[in-house]
Amino acid sequence: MSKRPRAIIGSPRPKVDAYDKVTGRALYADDIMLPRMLYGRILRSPHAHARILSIDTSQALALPGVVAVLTGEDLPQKFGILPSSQDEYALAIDKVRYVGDPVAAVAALNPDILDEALKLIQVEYEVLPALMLAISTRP
Amino acid sequence: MRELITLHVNGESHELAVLPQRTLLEVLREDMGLIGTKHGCELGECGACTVLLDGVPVLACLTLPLEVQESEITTIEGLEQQGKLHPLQETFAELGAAQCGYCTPGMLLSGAALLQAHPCPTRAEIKEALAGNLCRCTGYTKIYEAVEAASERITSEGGVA
Repeated sequence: MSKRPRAIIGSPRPKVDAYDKVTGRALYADDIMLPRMLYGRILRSPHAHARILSIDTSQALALPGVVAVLTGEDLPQKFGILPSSQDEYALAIDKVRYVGDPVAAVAALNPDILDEALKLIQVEYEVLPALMLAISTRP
Repeated sequence: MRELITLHVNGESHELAVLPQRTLLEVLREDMGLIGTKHGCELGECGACTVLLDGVPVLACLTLPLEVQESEITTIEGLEQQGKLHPLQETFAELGAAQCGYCTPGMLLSGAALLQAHPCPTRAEIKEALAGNLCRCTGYTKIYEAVEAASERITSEGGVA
């Protein structure tokens, strides 16, 4: 019986993108720069469970360089991964349900003013009780 | 107000008008288009932004371009010479030391600086030299092996790192 040298099976091969990665040529999302692109940032809830009473975006919009401010009301369309789970909102509507729940989004001409723009968005919350333990609280 | 500075990067001099508060990381990536150096933590903890300053690894996220105009800056783009890869780049690719690849530019520059100073490092010396470069994917073993393989390649060819 003749022995054929195993050219592929059992021999290591560099990943298809190995050389791009070791030369710094590989493009990651953060590396993509487009002409006249806008920069965005999300304002997130500091509360685990709260009702959103009001959002005032006027001061943020007035900041020079801010192009747009969106809240949940601007994006009422629900979506979800499965046809049976179409209950997600891009930005919170009515309630926030975890610390970090996105509440508003800012788009600006340069990234330096994004933090300042977020600070200028006034959100009034009614903090609600949050269940933190995975045990039943029903009698 | 932007200031006019001159940076020497990868063997070339560049005159740039930069905002004084910009970090070297931001200037390299956004003003010079050298996106090989990565944003990681931007706090000086992860090493993804590592560049070489006169051959010494530094964190570009903590460096002000205004203060390094006299130095020779090397980024990942400058590791290869005239289209020829540094032995570390070859061994990283061949041994699978890069998975997602995000820590790789920083790892390569730290490793290159190590091999320049210590052509035959021990495993312990490699670990120490790369301690400032965090990797979430590989578990580091293949990275250390790639540095050792590059060291062997350099010393057996009688070349310089």
